[in-house]
Amino acid sequence: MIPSLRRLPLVLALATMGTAFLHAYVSCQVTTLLHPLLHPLVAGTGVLLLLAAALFLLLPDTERPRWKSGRDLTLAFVLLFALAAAPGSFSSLALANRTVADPSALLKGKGAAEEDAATYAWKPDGAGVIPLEVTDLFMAIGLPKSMAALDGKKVRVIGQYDPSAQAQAEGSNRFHLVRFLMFCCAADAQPVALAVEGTPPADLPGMGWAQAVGTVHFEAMAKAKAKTGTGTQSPAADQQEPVLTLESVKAIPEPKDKFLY
Amino acid sequence: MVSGWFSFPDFFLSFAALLLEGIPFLLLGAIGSLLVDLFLPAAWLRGLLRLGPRAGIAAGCAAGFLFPLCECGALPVVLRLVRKGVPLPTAAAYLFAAPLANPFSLASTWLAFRTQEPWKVVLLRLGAGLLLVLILVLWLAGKKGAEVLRPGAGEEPATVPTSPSSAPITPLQRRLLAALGPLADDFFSVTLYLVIGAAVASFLNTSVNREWLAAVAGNPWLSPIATVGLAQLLSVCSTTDAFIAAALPQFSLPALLAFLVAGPLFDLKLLWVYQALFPRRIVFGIWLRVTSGAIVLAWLYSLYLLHPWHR
Repeated sequence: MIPSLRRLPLVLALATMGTAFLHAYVSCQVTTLLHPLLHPLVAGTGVLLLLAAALFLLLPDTERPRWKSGRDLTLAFVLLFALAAAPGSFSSLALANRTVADPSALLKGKGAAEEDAATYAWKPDGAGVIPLEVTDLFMAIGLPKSMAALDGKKVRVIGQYDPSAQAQAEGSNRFHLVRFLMFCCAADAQPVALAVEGTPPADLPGMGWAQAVGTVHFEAMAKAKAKTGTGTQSPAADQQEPVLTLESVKAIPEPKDKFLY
Repeated sequence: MVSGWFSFPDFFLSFAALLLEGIPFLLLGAIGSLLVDLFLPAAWLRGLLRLGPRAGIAAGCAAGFLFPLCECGALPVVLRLVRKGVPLPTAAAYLFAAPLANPFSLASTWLAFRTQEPWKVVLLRLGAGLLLVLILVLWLAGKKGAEVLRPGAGEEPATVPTSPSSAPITPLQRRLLAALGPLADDFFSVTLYLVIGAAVASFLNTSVNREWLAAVAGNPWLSPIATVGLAQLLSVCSTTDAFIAAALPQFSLPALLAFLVAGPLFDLKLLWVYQALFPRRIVFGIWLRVTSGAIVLAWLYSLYLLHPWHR
């Protein structure tokens, strides 16, 4: 017996959405979209939607208005299209639109270390370089012992290359390495930009991924902004910012975790 | 180098993230509404019928906390309660309180603000929201029933229809259809509003420079007006809106509180949804009280934060 087509739009919509959710979870696309805490919800939703689709397939036909079938299929298509069209990271426009005046204040809300300690274990690797995230350097702001423990140390960080600082301030030899910090989902991700003093490779594209090695020092944010030409809000006079004096930089492939959480 | 003012990839990254984040909560809300619908004990319903107006309002607010429904899921239940003779102020208290007080909304608010004093935000949202609910319900209780209820709202719904060409259905199938049909309808109808809200939010999120927005956001008098307008425009479900509020760090907590309180009580989506129960005049009255109430509460909170006592 050929099943009636009447229920198929609903079944198809539920199955499409369920598959889209499961695909986002299995393919790890969810890591660029949501905080890890929410990932199990995505998998669970995928399973529930597929189960619902199977149940509706087994049930007898119901009179369902055509506009509802159209709405359901349209919504499933929109979800599918949005997931297919979503890139792995933001462009320089999002960076320009979302740049915050004080990343260290942002990180305090993120639960940055409250305790100041010189023994904040920054352990160098075999080459004598401390591997860090950009956010680690900003988390030390306002914690004198942590800043002292990092000041003058050779560190290695990765981030997306942002040449806008150079473009805006002619003669400046600074650029930014940027990481987007996710709170709940990509929609609320905020950029954390580390000022790097030095000349980047000429072939490095804007917002391309790069790894930089250099020496950390801290300087007044107003001074740093004047050098890079960025920031429209006046930082407090005593507000400091980490700056990396570049020793080497190279382009790298996109990392697995494009966002920091 | 930045060129142009809008980036489609950025828009879709933000849009997909909001959908992937919001839809699971919508599904949880729809399942919750189904469970409430199936398992609400008849004895509780009889108890509601015997309550006086004040106790009824308190019961309605408490039910909002105990039975996890968002604003869209609550309306069919409220319609059913009204048809069964539950006094309108009691049912309306539940309708207004459920999206604010339900555990999914509270949990998502906590999650969204978990790095920014989450319990404070949750309690402020709950407290300010229930205060507005009380104002709305007392206003409705002061009116005559016929004035408040839309004509025809008390009619019994039709039974589950099946296609004339299909085979006769068993009692189990009928029960499953009666349960799952409304669940799917609830889910998709609210998802529609989430999609529209997420699209608008993503557009603003990715195309508006936040330094420009900060000019409005930094004004304690204008920012609650902006956030209440935004909440009503976005029409995002109360189980999801906290994530959007958390993505607006340029606004102060009082302005975000206005967003979190006003959105679940009245938005563009509810402008239509409420008309299933109330006449238009009453819907306008609800909008007026929710909008002005949320803004005034945010102003008062801003004044408190600015006061030397608090500092």
